[in-house]
Amino acid sequence: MAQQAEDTKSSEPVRGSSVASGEGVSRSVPLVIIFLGLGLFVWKMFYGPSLSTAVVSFLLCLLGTWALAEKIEKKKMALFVPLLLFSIWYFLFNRTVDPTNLLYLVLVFGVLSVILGFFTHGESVQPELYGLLPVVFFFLDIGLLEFLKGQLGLVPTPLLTALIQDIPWWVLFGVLTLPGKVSEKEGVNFAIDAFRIFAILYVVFVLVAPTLPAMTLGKDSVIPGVGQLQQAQAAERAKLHTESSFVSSVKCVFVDGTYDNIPGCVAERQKQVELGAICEQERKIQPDTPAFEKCKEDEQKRKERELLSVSGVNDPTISKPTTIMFVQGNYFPKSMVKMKGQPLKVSYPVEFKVDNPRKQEIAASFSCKFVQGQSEIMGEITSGVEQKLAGETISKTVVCQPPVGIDLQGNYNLMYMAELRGLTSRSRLQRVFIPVIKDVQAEAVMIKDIEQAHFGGGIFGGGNAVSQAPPDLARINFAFGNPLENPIIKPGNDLIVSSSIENTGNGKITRILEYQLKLGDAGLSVVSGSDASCLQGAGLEVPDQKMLGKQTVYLPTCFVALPKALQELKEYELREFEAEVRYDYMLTQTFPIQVNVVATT
Amino acid sequence: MNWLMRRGRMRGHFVVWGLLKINLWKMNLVRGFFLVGVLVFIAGCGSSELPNATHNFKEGISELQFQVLPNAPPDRIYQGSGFKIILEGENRAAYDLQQVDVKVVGLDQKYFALSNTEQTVPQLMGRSLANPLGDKEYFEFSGVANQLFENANEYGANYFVKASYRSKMDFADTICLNPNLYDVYDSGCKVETRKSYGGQGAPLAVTDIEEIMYPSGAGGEAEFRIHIANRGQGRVGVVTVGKAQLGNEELTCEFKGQPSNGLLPGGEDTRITLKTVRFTENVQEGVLVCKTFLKDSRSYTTTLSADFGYEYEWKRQFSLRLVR
Repeated sequence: MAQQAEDTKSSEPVRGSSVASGEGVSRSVPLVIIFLGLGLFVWKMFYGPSLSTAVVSFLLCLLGTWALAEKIEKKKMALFVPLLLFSIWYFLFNRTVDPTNLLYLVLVFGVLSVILGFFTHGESVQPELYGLLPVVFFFLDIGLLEFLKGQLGLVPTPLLTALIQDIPWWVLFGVLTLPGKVSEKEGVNFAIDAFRIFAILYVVFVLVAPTLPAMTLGKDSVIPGVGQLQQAQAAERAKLHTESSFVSSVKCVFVDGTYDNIPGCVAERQKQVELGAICEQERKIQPDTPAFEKCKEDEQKRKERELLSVSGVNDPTISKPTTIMFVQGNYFPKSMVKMKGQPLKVSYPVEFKVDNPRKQEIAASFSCKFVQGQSEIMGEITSGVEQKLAGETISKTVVCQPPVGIDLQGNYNLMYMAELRGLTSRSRLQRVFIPVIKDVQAEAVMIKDIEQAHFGGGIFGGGNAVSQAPPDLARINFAFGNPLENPIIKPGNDLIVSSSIENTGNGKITRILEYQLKLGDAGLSVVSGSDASCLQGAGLEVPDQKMLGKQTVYLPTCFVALPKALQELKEYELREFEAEVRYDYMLTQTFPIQVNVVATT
Repeated sequence: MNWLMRRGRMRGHFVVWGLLKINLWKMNLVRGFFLVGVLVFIAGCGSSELPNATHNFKEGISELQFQVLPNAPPDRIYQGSGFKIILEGENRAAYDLQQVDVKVVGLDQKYFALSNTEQTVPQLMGRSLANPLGDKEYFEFSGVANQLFENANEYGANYFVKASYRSKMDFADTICLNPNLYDVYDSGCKVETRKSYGGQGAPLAVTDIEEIMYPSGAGGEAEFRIHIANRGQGRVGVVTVGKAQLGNEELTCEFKGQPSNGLLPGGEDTRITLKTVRFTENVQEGVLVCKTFLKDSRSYTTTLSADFGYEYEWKRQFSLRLVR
């Protein structure tokens, strides 16, 4: 009888209260999570993440919450509170990092917890805390990487990406939620307990790792390039399906048969996959077609140009920026009412303001349109479509009217457009040419003196070795040297020249009229065989780069040779070079309006 | 009445005593002023920089010193205006300087267009009894400040003033020679195996001398290791030993530490021989080893002398500010 009692006792599941111990808790749900999680992981490895995998991950999250509910005796509904709030943040608020919205959510969570705690006499606190676990794993499985790239603008290193992407998170969760005594064998139980501890530490590490500087980079793809971090591009690229490094390694060994240089093979595979993903998923070109191969080639060349991309900074000695904007005044009729059948007689005046500290003469063209959904109605500018603007501070009223005979009704976005033509921006760049010095130590001392005196920072130190320009709407960034970024030039090697035109305003560059790098003034000449248009050109098309947050037009690169005078110096010489770009610029600004129509009485 | 009188007397005493005190104080004050005045007079008489007839200029560390004259250039230079950089060079060394070359290096001609960036003076006399302050020369560089870039508020520029010249340094000291190492009863002079020095009135200085005696034959062999080093603010280049003598006899000397093939890091210099050493950027010192045989077996004092020629470079950073 005692034996029977003992047998009965051992066969009945005992409800435990601790996740870590979980004595006697049913193993079925955690095991289901483990197997489903493993299947999900393998599927994502070969076919990439998709909406289906996100749905499965969410279902696993619910399953995980249910698994935890079995461990909680009371107030199980409180488990779902963190999941509910997380879903609101993730889907409705689009993973916002805006402090106001985050504070709002935290406050809601806090108030809910307090109310629940009040009515349950504190018994809902524990379930709420447990409810955070499946949420954390769900976030790790589908959201963390994209969140880092898209919302925070961070770019994870390949290591961090692998640490997040190449882990079967739901398998880990399943193991964590297994009961304390899985098997009769003590060794197995010990191994599972040790694995649980490792899993918890690993989760904590992965959540903390993005804050470590070594775990994030400025580059946003395995293909080196992109001088500037572009949040929008990172977000777009994050959505592309690229091959996991683990899968690439497997394919290198079993498909390509590359045993001796697996890292190189993996890098090359990932590069080709990324190029292919851009052409297929973004450009919508069919794979395995000539157009697809051409697209990959063009994308590769663009990346190579970006590899030599140069950056520039605002000139610290010039404080006044050039700005343009439309400003809605007090007399702008945001909302109005008209009688049905009567023509709409209204004007929409806005102020066009330009801060023009460099006193450029600007030719401007104005236009407007009423946008409602997909339809657009061109408006009429009654204040003068073409205008010549001059002066340090420009302020003009631009009046838009709906075209005669068009009956506006409802909500519209009234879009004003100003095209400014013939704008000019100049940049300057410092370089130091040193003589031939046979004594290596003496050369090192001279270089050190030059770096400290001319590139050490501050107003006297030149700030830095990159080109500087006034804070205009666009600027031309340029550099030359060997290597490119080194401002100290020794005689002997040819110098590489690279430049780009960067949009630094709040509109769009529509046309590059001409550009010039004035290196010839110092006697530098393009080496034969090199592209001479690197120093000057005209009439450039500006691509519509939707992926990039800021427009950047990359100009050709070339090699230049030093003149004899700069090769036979006796002392070092500091020289400043200028570059200039003339361009057209478009500003677009939208104001919401409302036209209500009432029936005649 | 008596009380009143007593009070009056007491008051009177106080008054008298007060007057006495004042008088005494005044007398002490006068004495004090007199003493101070005498002291000032004596100190003033005794503080003249002019050396007396026996002043030795060839001691310590001294060199050509530069300073920029006030407002040359001014703190701020307006665009489109002229400016001058005037450097006062004073030779405080005890030796003449040859081919003094002064350059302004590092200014961008686009902003500061100098009409001349280099000046050379054939000679600057050193300090001596006939010229106790040394020669002074003014190096003037004229230029025009050009326009700022776009509507910049200002432009700051660092530049270097570099000076280079050739000069010499003479060393002489009385030393004791005792070739008889085993005679402990020699009542002659005491040999000092190592002597240190504080300089010879130039940036290049003999810092130590080691004296090593080797018993050999009737007299002995003497070896002198003369340590020289740069103690100035600039850089010493090539150093050449001229004449080295022990008494009236010439010593055989050579610099140690030279590469055997005469080639030095960074290139070949055909001037480099055993009598020459080039100080590198990191190592601004050298050792000259001189040997001779001694004929006398008794101890005696004599003069060890050597002269050195050297190249010297000095540089310093300055700034200019161009404003709108």
